[in-house]
Formats: sequence, structure tokens, C-alpha cells
Amino acid sequence: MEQFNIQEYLDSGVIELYVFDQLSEAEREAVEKLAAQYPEIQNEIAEVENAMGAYHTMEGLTPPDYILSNILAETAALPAITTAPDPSLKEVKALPRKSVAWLPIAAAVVGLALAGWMFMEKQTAQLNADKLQQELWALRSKEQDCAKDLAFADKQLTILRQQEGNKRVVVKNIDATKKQPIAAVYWNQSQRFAHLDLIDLSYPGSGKQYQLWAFVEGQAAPVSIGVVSWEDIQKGVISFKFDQKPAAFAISLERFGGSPTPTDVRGASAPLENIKG
Amino acid sequence: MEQKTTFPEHQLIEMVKNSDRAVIPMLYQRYSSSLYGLIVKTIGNQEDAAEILQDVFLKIWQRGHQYQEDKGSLLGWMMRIAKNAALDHTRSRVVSQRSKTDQMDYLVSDGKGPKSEARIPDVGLRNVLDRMDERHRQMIDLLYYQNYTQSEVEELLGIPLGTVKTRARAAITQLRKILRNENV
Repeated sequence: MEQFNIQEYLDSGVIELYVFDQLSEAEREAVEKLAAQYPEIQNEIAEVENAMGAYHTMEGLTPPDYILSNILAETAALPAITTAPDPSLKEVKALPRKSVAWLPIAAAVVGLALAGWMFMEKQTAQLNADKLQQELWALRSKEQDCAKDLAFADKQLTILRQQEGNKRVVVKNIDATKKQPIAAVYWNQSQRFAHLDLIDLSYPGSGKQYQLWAFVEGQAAPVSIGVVSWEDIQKGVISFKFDQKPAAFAISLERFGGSPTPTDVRGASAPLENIKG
Repeated sequence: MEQKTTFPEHQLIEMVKNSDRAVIPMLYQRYSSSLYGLIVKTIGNQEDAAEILQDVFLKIWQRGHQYQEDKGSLLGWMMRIAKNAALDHTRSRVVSQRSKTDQMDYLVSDGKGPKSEARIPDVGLRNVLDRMDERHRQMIDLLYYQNYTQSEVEELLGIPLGTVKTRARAAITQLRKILRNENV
């Protein structure tokens, strides 16, 4: 039986036509089947998609500024999608565009009833939270240009401190003679985000990375939240999504890529329940 | 393409799959220019493109659970949503064959895109466009943005079907090579 020649398959141009959506349903399925079987094909699809993603940006077109706030307002007004695929889930029609002037109108109407009033309160809170989140990420979008700008880093931290629901947790140096904390973690329980601000950590050395850990109630070993590269540390605050409820945080120095368990702990925080805020 | 945030891709994917609201600003920051560029170049105007982009992000949020990593990248999945939305818009306006041809004519003639709307942001990107073979750009424009079938391109350009495929491959290969060299 003739062996499948991956390179020949890639050179045929079928992956490009797959990304261009130029294949029949049967041809698409054949490509996807092969992609599931051969990582080289899956990787090639991603490479072509990335190249096209870059190509789309080359006219220098950027969407108007109001678009993001409109999207956030619209999603904030929709019920959260928390379940697995639900075939009965109908798409919700988009709300009117270019302004969120419907909100006060909706508030006036709904405000006739107490239940409606409570609903709007919740929406407003969500909008505020989203606005802060948006501001945070807008600032982060500039971070690569301002990597060494301490004032910018301060701004990031100011937003984190002001953002409702963030608890600042100091990670103290394991060496008790050093009073300066090595990091601060801004933990947001409702959003389940850990924003890591590394304060006093030296270059980890070649082939090594720092790793952030959480102590979780009921689990014997610390749970890894993620590793941080030295490049990311230079840029400012690093955000991690973490779906469990941490009781405390720790930072260790590990080989590049991280470790399943901490091996060289550099600092730890006090229990979150003992921290106000 | 350039990654504008330090947020790990696998975490973004998890958040997309969970339809987590917090992922929207992150996706927007990282991918909105690309998706917007795709939409503008497909439908030919920026005003409608902005509205379509809004719909696209809503769909991304609502359909996050449908994304399957083994079928392509997150960006590729979002691009398919954006492209379908742009094509639906074009179809809904019953764009005549004439306007399709007119749009194609400018692409074939100078390949520079809509001059009144386009802004080349930096030298790196301009270099990429300038260094691409005109025939390769034309092939991407016809097959991807204008959604011409391979047979239509064969007929339009008077080249064999096999050449359409190999030229599409050559176009992307050249684009990837230039992007690597330019570190874009």
C-alpha cells in the first residue's frame, strides 16, 4: 500500500483552498479527518490561517472606537451563556447600534416595577465592570509600546486596585530577611482572574521560568496557575484565568515550561481569608 | 500574526468555549483589526463593516462552545464567522454581477484596495504588500475576498484549474515567507 505523502499533499494547495473555503463539504471533511490524524496538516492549516489573518490587516484598517463598547453593552444585556451546547438556544438579535441610548429608556420602562429596577441595577453593575475591564485591556494593548514605562505600569495597577472585586494579595519573599514582597496578585473571585504584578524578582536564568501556584482547599498539593516568561515580566501585569477558589498563592522557580509540583519556592502569601479587601 | 497581548492562547480558547464575557475585550484587542480588514475587503465599505464586526463578535461569544481546536486555529474559526457574515451581507444586498465585476476590476488593475479608505500603518506592512507578486495578491483577492469559485477564476483569467490551485499555494507561501522575513 502506498504511503501517504504529507508534503505532496500540502504542496497540492488543498490547505489554502480549505482556508479559502473553496472546498466541497466532502473535501472539507477529508481535510479535517487528515488534520486530526497528522499534526503537520493541522499545523499547516493554522499557519495559513495566521498568514491570512496578517494579510487582512495590511490595508491598515481599524474599526471605529465605539464598536468595542457597543459589543460589551450588547453582551452585558444578554443572559450569560453558561451551559454546554444547547440546540434550543436561539441567537439573540443584536441591539440597536451606534449608541446605548436604549439603556435609560429601558430603565424608565422597567423601573415601573421593582423586579425591573433590580434587573437594571444588575445590568448597570455589569456595564461598569465591563467598562473597567475594557479600560484595563485598552491600557494593556499599549503595554508593548510602553514596556519600560513605569508610569504606565502604575496606571495598570491603579485600575486593578480600583476595579471592584479585586483582592490584593502580597506574596512575601521566602527569605524572611528580605522585607520587600516579590509579587502581588490581584485576585478577582467573580471573574476568576489572577492578575500578577511581579515586584522584586531577579532574572530566572537561562532555561528557567517563574511559576504561580494556588493552594486550594481540599487539595493536598498546590495547583499550578501558570508560568511566566521573563519577557512578559518586563511588560507589566500578567493575567491568568483560574477556575478554582484559591486559599493562598505561591511563586516558585522552575525549569522552562513549568513543573507539576513546586520545586524551588521563592515566596508565598498569607491565606486569602485573612486579607481584607 | 502579531500577538498583542500576553494572555496565553489556550486560556483564551477555554474562555471562548465557556462564552466568558471577559474574553471579548481580549479577542477584540488581538483580532479586531484582522476581522475588520477581512470584512471591509469582502464587502467594500467601512460603514457596514463596523456593524458586521459587532455581529461577528456577538456570534463568537454566543457560539464559543462550537469551536473545535482540531479543525483549525481560533483565528481561523473567527475568520470563517466574519467571512460568512460579510458574504451574507453582500448577498442580502443582492449585489449585481456588474458591481462584483467592478470591484474585481479595481483589484485586478491595481490591487491596492479601496484607496479612499485604506491607510497603510507602517513600513513593515507596506513592505509585505509591495513585495508580493501582483498575481498572487490577485489570486487571494479573487478566491478569498470576492469568493469566486476556482472555475470562475479559471475562466476569468484564462488559466488552467491546476494553475489556480498552485498559484493559491504559491501566494500563501510567498506571504508567509515575507511575513517571516519582516517579522510581522
